[in-house]
Amino acid sequence: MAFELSEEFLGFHRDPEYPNRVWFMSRERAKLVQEFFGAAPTGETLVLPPQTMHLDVCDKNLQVTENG
Amino acid sequence: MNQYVVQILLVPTTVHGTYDDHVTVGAKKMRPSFGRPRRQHRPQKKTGWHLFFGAATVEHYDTFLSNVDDYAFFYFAERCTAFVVPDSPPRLPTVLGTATSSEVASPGTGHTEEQLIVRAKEIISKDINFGVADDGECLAEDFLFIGAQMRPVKQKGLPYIVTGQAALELIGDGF
Repeated sequence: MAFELSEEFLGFHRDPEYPNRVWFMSRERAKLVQEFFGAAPTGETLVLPPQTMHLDVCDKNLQVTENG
Repeated sequence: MNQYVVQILLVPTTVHGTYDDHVTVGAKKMRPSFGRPRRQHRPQKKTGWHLFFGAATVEHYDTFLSNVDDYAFFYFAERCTAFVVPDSPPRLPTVLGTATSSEVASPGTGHTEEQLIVRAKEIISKDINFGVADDGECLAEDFLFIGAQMRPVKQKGLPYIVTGQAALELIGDGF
């Protein structure tokens, strides 16, 4: 991969209204280590904006039904 | 004296949420959601309905709910919110509470918050990586990914990391 991804997930909590849903935040950094669409691998690091994400799981086997 | 007992309003819900913020901040900011939603809040895709009840006094609800089956509302709305709007100024609504179909009709997974969080951390770990590393075994049959909508690349210039003629040819006009 052109980027080395450094992921941070934090702030896990259950949705008070949807009992199957877990919310969490992500903060990611991406370091350019290989050529990417003609851009030289300068070693620069992209600091991606923090995101709020969620996971919904189903009742039986806790498989993921929704993610975003 | 109001001519009505209870006003009922259906508001579409979207994958991005409902219009709760308009209701809880006060009458002035609440009004746009009663009429046509403002353009920036217009839902991209309707996923359900949020049912709002408005009455002048709490007693009106007693009269209203004594004559209907309140659970019947969830047949056509996944969430219900009841609030009181005083008949005299300053007309700030008081939200009595919000119930959801999941609370009324579904007991949930039966798992504790700690169990769900442990499971979520498993899913985002490198071993599973949202289904990438385990060949999708952690994903349900009806799995749905909801992605953030990003602006077109050409709207205000390219992202600075994508540079060079090669990048322009790759992206082209069809992005």
